[in-house]
Amino acid sequence: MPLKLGINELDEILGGVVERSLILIHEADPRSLGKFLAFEIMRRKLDSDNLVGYFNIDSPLSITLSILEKVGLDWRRHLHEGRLMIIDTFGSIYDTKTDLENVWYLRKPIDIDTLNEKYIKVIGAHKQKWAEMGMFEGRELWGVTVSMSNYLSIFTPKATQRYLEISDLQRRKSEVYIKYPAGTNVWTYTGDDTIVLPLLYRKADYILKTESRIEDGKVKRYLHLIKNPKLGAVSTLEYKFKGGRIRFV
Amino acid sequence: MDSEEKLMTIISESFLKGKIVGIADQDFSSFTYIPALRSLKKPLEEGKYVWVVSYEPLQSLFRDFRRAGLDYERHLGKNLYVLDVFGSMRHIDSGINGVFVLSGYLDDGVFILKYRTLIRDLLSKLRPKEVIVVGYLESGMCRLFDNPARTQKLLWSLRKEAGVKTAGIITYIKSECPALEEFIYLYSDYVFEGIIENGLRRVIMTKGDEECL
Repeated sequence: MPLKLGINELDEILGGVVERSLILIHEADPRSLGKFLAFEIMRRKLDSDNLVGYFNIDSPLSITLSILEKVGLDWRRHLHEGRLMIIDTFGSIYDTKTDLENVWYLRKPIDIDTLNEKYIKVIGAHKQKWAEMGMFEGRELWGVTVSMSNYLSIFTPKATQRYLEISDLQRRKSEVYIKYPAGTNVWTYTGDDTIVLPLLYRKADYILKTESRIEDGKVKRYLHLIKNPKLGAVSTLEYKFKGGRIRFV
Repeated sequence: MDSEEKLMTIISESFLKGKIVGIADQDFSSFTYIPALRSLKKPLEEGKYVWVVSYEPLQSLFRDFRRAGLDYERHLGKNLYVLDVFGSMRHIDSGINGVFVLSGYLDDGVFILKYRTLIRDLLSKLRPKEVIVVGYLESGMCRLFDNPARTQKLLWSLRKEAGVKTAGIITYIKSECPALEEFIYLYSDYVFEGIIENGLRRVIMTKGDEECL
């Protein structure tokens, strides 16, 4: 049975999403605020009592949490009640750590060749915790990553490309993904490049591309459904940003 | 309300509400950051503390203060303080009261550590209730740091640590440092873009509730 994102306008054009699929939100320009679509999906999934693993790559965690607060996501409650777990990749690499419960750090040294292994270890440890708490029962599992494009500046475009090429197979073979449920993933990616982005376009099951334009002295924002499993025509929705959230027109 | 007036109104409100306003000029001929600096006049006269982090040569900041109509010399060292990042990275100390430079060896990481120590010392000395933080032409980071995007995020993350109410203005010229635009749009509560269109200077609100009006 297909899952819903919880945003009516999107669910209507998508017709639901297949469980365990990968949804890529390609924020073509930062002004389109595509990341906020990922935050909105995350907020709705958590508020409806589902499980979310958030991969914090973009910013120091204190900044990410302040943004989540602005979009109305009660991260304190969700972390405390165990629905939300965070892997703080940014904090692991740049030593900006917190002692919040259910926030995980990757063991140093972190390089692109061992990154996936370290993710698998942490994901495995937390999935075990969720299993012991009986949290999987009746709940959807989502992974939200903001933002894949940050790997390019942390490592290099070529290294990121290599990571993406091999991580799929490593995860598929890992016991963590056999023993415990696997999630449906939302990844964001900002900007354009010819090394990593084409790979992500091929890998993703769904591609939602956000872009903005200045028209008649006002900002206009558009979301294009570029890819879904049926590969139908590209659908476009217009949206606005109000009260810290994406709202479709 | 014309666009510049709207900009001034939003900045004034953001000072009260502890919000961040991003000023993103599309290129270096837009100069939207000058009216944004003008908005500091009232809080300075009211005795509020203003902390300017300048990524351009100090004289460029002072010229722009004068263009914005700010009597900065009256406030420097009293309730206006400047961190001269340009001078710090280039090892040029102006010796002006109220202007700080970070001395000794500096790279991206060391800069953050020394910056943190400086603001801790300053906050414990001044004990302000609230501070207005201004990033003066953060696009200059692309000339001063190896990884400007990371440095910008780490610097702004210290805002939480400071433990005082802060509002902020980030001024920035996109064409000089495109890498910072992503964070400015993510982190700012409001963003205004300055453009020149058909010979007219325009300021457009591109993030914030009133963009929909």
